[in-house]
Amino acid sequence: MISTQEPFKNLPVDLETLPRVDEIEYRSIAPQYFWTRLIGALIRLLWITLMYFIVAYALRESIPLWIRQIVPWLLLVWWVFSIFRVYKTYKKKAFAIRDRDIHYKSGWIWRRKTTIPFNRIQHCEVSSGPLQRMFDLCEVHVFTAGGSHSDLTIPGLTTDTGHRLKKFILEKIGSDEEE
Amino acid sequence: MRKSDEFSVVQRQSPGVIGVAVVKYLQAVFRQAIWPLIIIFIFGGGADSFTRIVIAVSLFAGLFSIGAAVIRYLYFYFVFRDGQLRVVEGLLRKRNLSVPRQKIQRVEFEQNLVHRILKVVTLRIETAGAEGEELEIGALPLDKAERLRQILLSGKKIDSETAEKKTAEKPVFRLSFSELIRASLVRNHFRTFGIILGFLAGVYFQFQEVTDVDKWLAEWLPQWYYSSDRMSGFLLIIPPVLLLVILLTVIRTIIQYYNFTLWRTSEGYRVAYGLFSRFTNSALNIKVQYLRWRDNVLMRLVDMHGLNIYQATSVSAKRDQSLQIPFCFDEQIDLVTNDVYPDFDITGATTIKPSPRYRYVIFFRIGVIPAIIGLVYGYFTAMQPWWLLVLALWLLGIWIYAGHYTRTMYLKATPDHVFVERGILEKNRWLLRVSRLQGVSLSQNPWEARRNLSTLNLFTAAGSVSFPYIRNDYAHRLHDYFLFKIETNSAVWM
Repeated sequence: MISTQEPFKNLPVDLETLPRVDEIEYRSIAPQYFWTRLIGALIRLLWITLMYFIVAYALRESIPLWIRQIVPWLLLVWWVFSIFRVYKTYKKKAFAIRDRDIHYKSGWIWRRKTTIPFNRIQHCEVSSGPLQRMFDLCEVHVFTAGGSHSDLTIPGLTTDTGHRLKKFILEKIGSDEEE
Repeated sequence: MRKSDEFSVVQRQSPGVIGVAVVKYLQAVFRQAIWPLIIIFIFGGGADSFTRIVIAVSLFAGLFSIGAAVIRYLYFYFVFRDGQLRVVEGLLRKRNLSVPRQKIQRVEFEQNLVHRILKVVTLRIETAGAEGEELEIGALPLDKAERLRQILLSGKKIDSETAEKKTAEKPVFRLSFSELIRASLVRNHFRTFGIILGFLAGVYFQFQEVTDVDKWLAEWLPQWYYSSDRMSGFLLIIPPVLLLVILLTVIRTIIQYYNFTLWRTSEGYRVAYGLFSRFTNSALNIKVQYLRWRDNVLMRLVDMHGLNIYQATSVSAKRDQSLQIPFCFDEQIDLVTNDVYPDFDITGATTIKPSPRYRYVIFFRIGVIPAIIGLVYGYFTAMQPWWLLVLALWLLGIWIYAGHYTRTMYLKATPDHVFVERGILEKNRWLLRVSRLQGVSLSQNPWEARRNLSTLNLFTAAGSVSFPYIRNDYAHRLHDYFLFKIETNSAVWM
């Protein structure tokens, strides 16, 4: 049972006519993003696995046998889970732009949808790391006065899309200020 | 020269700044040196060499600080011209800073004993810009500082009006001495206890090197622990410690908040408090992002609340972004809410409550997890069966608490405001204006997702407020409505 709640009877706008958040059409991010994340995850996994085997070999006298038998299986499960997670989180990342705001959703197990209105954006920038540049990718950061919690980062955009998005946002901010 | 133009000519600080800086520096030196000095005095080679060391240290520190302070004074200029405050300072490392008036968020005064003797104040000017752009003017005569603050904080042109504005400032609340005592009795005594422990630890480490305190403790502790009346010894020590803690809290509170006064100014609020050092802090109504007031069980006994006025400030000053009124009554809360949000009206507001399932979350977090830890602890230390009873009682207590907590928390949405109340032992209330929000987000953890519930997060320029376990359709409608309010609002928001 959900507790009793009244509808918005006292609000001066007709809520039914407002644009609805559940009807937003999200655009998924570039497929190359999956590969950059996968490469990153694989490097991490390889590193951890390697470290484990070095430590296990060095301490083979003092670690009980059952631990040495069980850990490789745990590592295997972790490999599968990590790769699956990279795929799932990639699939869940999407953004949408409406006339007055920008939306971004992410998260596979813990999900989040954030909306920043253009008239609250302070500035915006494009950045890209070496791995991202190899795949012609970049990310767009949107900054508000609300600090890190309400700042938005949209990863996995092609360089062209990223720059166009930034230009679009900057134009939007500019036109807002003129109003 | 018109009075209003007084800051448009380049000027220096009051020479009093030299005194302020020297005292500050000496204080810092002696705070560092006091323990070594005491130890040298007690265990060192008698009073003679001690005097020599003290004289040498004082002489060196004194000369150095006077030299540094004089140079700092000679190479510090400020001017307010064309709507900008400009500061040029430094001999070796030069700093040249211009801050437009619009970017200035707050102007604070600091006045401690030295300031009062020299009849000056230190001005701290906080800006909306990036880190490192805070300004400090070491010392100005009080009246001049007031005039500068008026100029910096008024959004209007400098004219004679600003000088008169000061008279518009009137005290609206002053904490009387008996109220202060009452307030100090309901403060967080654990914190004082922590300070005492920290102090004892400090003393211990300072003396460890030069005495055989370790040896003494090693002999005494086991003796006490294995003695037959260890429990009664323990019980005996509780009342004096308790008394000491409460007494120290009272003293601490009096020193900190003596003569706490809240003024209503023409554009917001200002507080001043302190026995030895007087602190003052102000908030502008236009910059307020949200209000938060709270009280705990003890504070409710004396009908007191603590009110925080959160305003937009630079990121670097996050810790200090709120104007705090640590103790006040319903009256003051009403006054401030009416002033900041004159159009706020709770009647007819839509009430949103969390799903009853939120009870499980609280129960799990503060009930089940500690119980599991307790169980493991009991298992490894071979606890008696009564331990299980304690854990069961704990779980039962938390279960009731969690249910009550979930039932009493709510969010109220009016056309322009959001009001959130939650908490039992400590009750917290938030009040904010929707059009001031920076962004809105909906988040879901796996349990929420399965039950079609969401957490609503509202971001302001001074922190965020969130409300969990709302039915999805309500959360989405609130989200849509809040966005509509933000996006159709073109007023200045910060």
